Formats: sequence, structure tokens, C-alpha cells
Amino acid sequence: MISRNIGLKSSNLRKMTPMKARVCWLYVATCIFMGFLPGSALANTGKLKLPVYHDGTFELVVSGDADNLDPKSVIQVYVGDPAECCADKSPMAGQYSFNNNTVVFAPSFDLINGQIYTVLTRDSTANGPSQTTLTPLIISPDLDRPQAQVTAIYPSADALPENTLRFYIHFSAAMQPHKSAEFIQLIDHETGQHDAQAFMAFKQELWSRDRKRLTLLMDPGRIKRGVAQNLELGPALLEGKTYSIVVNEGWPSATGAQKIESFSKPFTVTAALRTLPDTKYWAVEPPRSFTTEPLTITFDRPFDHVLAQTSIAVTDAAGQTIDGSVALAGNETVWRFTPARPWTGQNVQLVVDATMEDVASNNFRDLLDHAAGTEIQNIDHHTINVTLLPEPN
Amino acid sequence: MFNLKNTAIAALLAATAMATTALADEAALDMKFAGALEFSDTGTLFVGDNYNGAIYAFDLTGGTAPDQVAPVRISDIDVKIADVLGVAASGLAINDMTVHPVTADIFVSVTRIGNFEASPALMKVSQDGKIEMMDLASVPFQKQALTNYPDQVTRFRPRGVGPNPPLPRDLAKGEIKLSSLAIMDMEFHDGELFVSGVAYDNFLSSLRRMPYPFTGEQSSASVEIYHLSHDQNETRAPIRAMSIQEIDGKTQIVAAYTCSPIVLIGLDEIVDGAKITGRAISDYGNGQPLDMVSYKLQGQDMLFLTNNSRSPQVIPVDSMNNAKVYTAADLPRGGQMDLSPTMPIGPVGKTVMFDGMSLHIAALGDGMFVSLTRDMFSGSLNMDSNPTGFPNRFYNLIAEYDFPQYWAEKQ
Repeated sequence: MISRNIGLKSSNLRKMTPMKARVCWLYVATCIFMGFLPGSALANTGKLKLPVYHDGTFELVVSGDADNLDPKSVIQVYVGDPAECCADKSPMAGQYSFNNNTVVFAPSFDLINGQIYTVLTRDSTANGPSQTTLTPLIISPDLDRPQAQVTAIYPSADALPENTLRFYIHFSAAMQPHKSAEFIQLIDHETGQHDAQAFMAFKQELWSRDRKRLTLLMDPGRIKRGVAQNLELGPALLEGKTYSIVVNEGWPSATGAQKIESFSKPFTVTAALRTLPDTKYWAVEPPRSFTTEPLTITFDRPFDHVLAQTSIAVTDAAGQTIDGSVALAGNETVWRFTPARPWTGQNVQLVVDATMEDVASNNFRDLLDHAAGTEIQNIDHHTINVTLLPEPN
Repeated sequence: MFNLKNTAIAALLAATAMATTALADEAALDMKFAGALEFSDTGTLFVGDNYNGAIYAFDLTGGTAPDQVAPVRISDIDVKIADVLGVAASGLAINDMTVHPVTADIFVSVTRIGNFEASPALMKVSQDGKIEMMDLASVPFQKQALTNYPDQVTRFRPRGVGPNPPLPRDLAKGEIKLSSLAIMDMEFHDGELFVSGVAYDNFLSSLRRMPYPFTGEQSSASVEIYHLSHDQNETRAPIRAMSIQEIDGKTQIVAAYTCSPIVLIGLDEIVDGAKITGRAISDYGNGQPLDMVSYKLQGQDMLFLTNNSRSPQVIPVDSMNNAKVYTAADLPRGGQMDLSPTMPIGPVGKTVMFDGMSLHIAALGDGMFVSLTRDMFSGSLNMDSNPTGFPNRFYNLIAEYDFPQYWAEKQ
């Protein structure tokens, strides 16, 4: 059901441009878009007499003897669902007219985009008791707007280690929650089957505050060797095989106004990543002093897309954090920091938080799936000294 | 303009272009906002349009009085008004309510929030409880533009409580234009309309007077008061609700301000260009006034003053005769709040029980109020008719009298 509050707000935000409103009459689950189709499209279909809504007015062709017809008695428009209509409710205000067997009802105001209305029609010219028909009507606000899309998925590489833990799915619109299990699947290319238990099922999905990014966890119980689910079901991803994460078409956006287009990310599976990351193996490319050239690190492995952007600070010789922006490249193996102001001094430090995780959730202290008795590295951070290159001539 | 066809305004434009009436001095009705409402004694309805800086007078005279004024009670009045306007209740704002002095029809001014624009509408609730939208296109009208209408750019400065920063809802105040307070309350008296609100310059609080039928003539005076609980002279915040009464042998405006002094201003002081100093005679406690209804209770002239933060105050008009006028010299320095020993101060009458909160209230016949009352528990907005002597209903209360044993024992 469309939320009327949100529908209103979203429509109010739209600029004042001519709306190419189309009308959707709902019959069970079928929508027939009338839009600017010829007016007779749905008007007398068998015994069911339906009005045409076109350009802000309703028209209803009345058959048979129409003398002394009160136009108000044959068509009325109510706010709300037919299931709650129309006892004790007032119909919408507007002007009625009757000409050439056609009743025209012009509501005083635009119908609200996304609001469900009930159109009551009464066949008052039939013999015997009059027959009343209630038809739901909704003006779909967003048919001209592109549908919601998956805009990115991380890790972004085509090949991922067998013990990859965390995926981030980015959407173009805020999405309705509690739908991920219904719409997201892990498909095994060999069998075409989807693995219903691949992802961790929480009561609460892990959404960003704007509900445009979903964090999807592979079930860690199937990754950790020797844990019950790992023994029963085995890992969801197996080295050497090819899979796809599929987001199926139809997931509604938070307002209900958009639906997602289908999306698929195929990837092959490589050996599990079961070593600690090590800054020793990172390649640092220093920038030149007095420029805003980026400082670039090439990691020893792909890191978590979110943590890689937040876990490394750049400080000056006095230990003060240097402002700037971070971009990732190379499927999250390249980190690039562009300072807000030109570099000064001769040295800077990179302070790497030891809890920064790679794609398999290993960090500098500990592996996600470590052997019993393994000692945890008792460190907070790693510091890398970087000597800036001389300023350009 | 886009899609005008479906707006009430467009219908009005089309229809009034054809109408030629004695009163209409404008070709078309261009009302953008239906705010404050007031009736003349015979049934001309004044509507304050704060967006256009104008007052419209609709001639609704000529109706017949009912044999007896009936109470009107409508549950979920906001939903039912919204139904007629073709929106959900969330797309409706209720701005004011008043009662026709002859027919006892109840008029409610509203804003309908549409897809692309907000539209004004005036709803009529008849004595039989029927709700309809007024077809203003068929009503003769006159328009009076306000002189000194404030600029439509300056907005309020948001603030938090005490040292705390403003919260998101406080910040929303920063979106509201000062000009939206151009017309706060209107009182018709002896052939003239008196209007409180804000005017153009830094001395914002104003009182206007204009004869009706409108002639274009208009006087606008600035109003300064000593604000008892703020302990300062104030010139900006406008009179929120007012009534015209005979006090100390003079015809005076009884003006209620936010937080919450009551001030007297003689009608003879409202002269074009004047700077008036209102006489602060009382302060019943903090909060913001909503409506001030003049009525008779057991033969005595009374004021029923509602407030968005407290129970209503009932003030006998007589009690304001010979009232002391307070100035800074009479009070200790610093802000006075509800719990300060000096409060309440002056002739404030009494606070009375009122179940729920009245969004708007007006007198309905003799002996009744009609109120748009927000129910405390359900949040529903209901049109209630309450007796003036005890303006309450019992459905939210359980008292001794609700126990069957009490009545069994009585027998």
C-alpha cells in the first residue's frame, strides 16, 4: 500500500513542471495504463461501466434513458481504498455537468499523486435496483522517472576470496527495508540454484542512515571452519566456482513510487584469504610538496570498501590530521588521498587503524577465522612515514 | 500557470470574471491563503490572506436563523474535511474557525496541500453536520489590501531552549516568513474591522482599522507593550488573539500576547501612523494564545481564552475595570515564569478544565462553544459542541460516578 504521507512529501518536492500523469486503475494486481489513450478505452466494457479520467476530469457515458438524471448520483470520487468506502464519507468536491449522454465530473483540485481514490459509479438507468461499482484509482507519480537501480556493489572485483564476508549494495533511492531476503539471491552458475542460507539473516537489516546502502553479510557460520553450519552446509562460496549476487526486479523504494530494476554481479571464487594484512607489503607513492597531488597506497589485498575510507589518517609532523578526501580504486586495492590544501613540510605519517578489515574481515590484529589458541596482535595502529617528493621546479 | 483547471482558484477566476456584483471591486478572486476568520454582525465573512497581504469580505448575509441552535459533533473532522478536498488528512492544515451570527453555520478556513501547490479553501459545516466546500466563485466579495504589508523575505531566527542548540523542529521556524503573521486576529465592531498582525518595518506589531464596506481607507498603528514575563518593552511579536470590550467606560481591545500578557488598547488610540503603548494589566502564565471568545455566563460578560500550552482561562470582563497597569517599575528584574512568585499577576480570571486541547474555538448560539478539539489519547481531531458553563465531555474520564455500585447504593 502506498504511504500517503510519504507520497505527499515526495510530490511536494518536485518542481512545478507539467505532469504527464497517467492513470492506473487497479484490478487485483493488474494495472492498465490509460494515460492519454482514446477516451473510449475503458468506457463501456460489457456491463461494467467505467469512467474515463483524462486531463483532470472524469467522464462517464450513460446509456439508456437519461432524462432527469442527477449527474451527482452516477459518479463520485472518494479518498481512500474501496474496502473502506463509502459509508459516512463525503465525496470530493467538484463541478458536475451532463451533456450528450456523458456525465463530466471536474474535481475542484488535482488528484494527489500516489493517493488511492475510490471512484463510485452507479448504474441508475438499469431496470431494478441500481448497481454500484467501486473502482480503485491511483495517479502514479513517478512513471516518467527512472526506476530505482543498484548503483554499485562492493567488493567490486570479479574474483573474490572464498571467505569474503561482507557486501555493500548501493541503491539510487532509499529502499523499503525487510525485503532483502525476498529480493537478493546468491546463484550458483553451475546449477542455476540459489542458496537460501548464504546470507546472514538478522531481525534488523543493516542499512545506512539514508537507506540507500545495504550491508549484506555472508553467514559467518559457514565461513568459520568447524562451526556447526560450516560442517552441515559447507561454505556458501567454493574456490574455483562462479556465482552471481542477484537483486531481483520489483523491490519497492521507500516511498513505494519506484521499483528496482534487476541487477546481477557475477564473480569467480579464489582461494580463501587467511593471512593477516601487512603494511610492509603496501606500496606508497608519495606526492610532491606544495602540490595537491594525491598520496597513493597500493594495498597487499582488497580491503573493506567502507573501512578503507575511514581507517587511515594522514597527519603532519606535529601529529595534526591533514584534511582531504579519500578515493578507492583498483577494486579496493588502491587508496588515494587528495589533501584539501597543498602539502607542506617534508614528511607526513599514515596512521592505519589496526581494526581496518580486508574483504574477508581479517584485520591487523586477528583473522576472522583463526585457529584456536592463536595469539592476537596487541596493536592499535600502524604508522607509515612518508617522505614527500621535492616541490616541482 | 500549470494545471490551473483543477484548482479552486482557477474555478474562481473563471466564474468571478463573469460575475458583476455591487461589492466586488476586483475582477477576480485571487485569494492565496484562507487564514483568520471574522463575521460582521449580519453575516459578511472576513478572511485574512497572509500570503497576499489582503482581507477578503464575502457577502454571506441573507441566511435564515435556525429555530434553535443545535450542537454539532463530528468525529475526525480533519479526515472528513480532507475527504471533500480529495486529500489525506496529512494534506490538510486548519487555520481558523468561526460561526455565522445568523445561520449558525460553522466556517473553517483550511489549506489543502496538493501535488505542486497549497490551495486555500473555506469549509462550511451546517447545523445538520453536513460538510461542504464553499463555492466562493458564486459569492460577491470585496478585497482590501493591507498597507505596510511586510517584506516576504525575512524569516524567523530559530532558537533552542536555554543554552541548547535548536533542534530540527526548531530550525523549521527558520523557513517561516514574518509576513505569514501579517493577519493574526480580526474583530468587527461598529462598522469597522480591526486587525492585529505584523507590519512592514522593524516596529512590527501592528493594529489596523478599516471601515466596512471597504473604501480603501485604512489606518495602521504600531503597538509597543511592556511584556511582564519577559521584563522588557516589546514591539515585534504581534497580538495573537483579541476581543473588543467596554472597560473603564471606554471601548478597548483586550489583547492576548505570547507568554502571555493581557493588554488594553483604546480604540481611539488606533490612528494612522501612531505609536501606541498598550497597558499591560495581567499575565496568567506562559504559553501562546489561540482564540479569545466573548460570551455571557450567567448574565456576566466573559472571555474564554485558549492557549496552545495550557488549559483555557475564563476571565470576567468586569474584573478588568480599574485594573492596575504594570510597568517595569512594578516588578523585580528578570524573566518571570509560571513558578515565579509574582505570577500570575493582575485580573486573570480562572483556569478551567478542558478535556483535550482546543485548536480553535468559537461561540455557537447562546450557551455553547464549538471547538476543534484534539483528543489527548487518540490524537484525533473532533468537532465538539460544549456547554459554556462546563465545556467538557466525559469519555476520557473515569470517576466515582462511572461505577454502577455508586448508583446502586444511591437507590
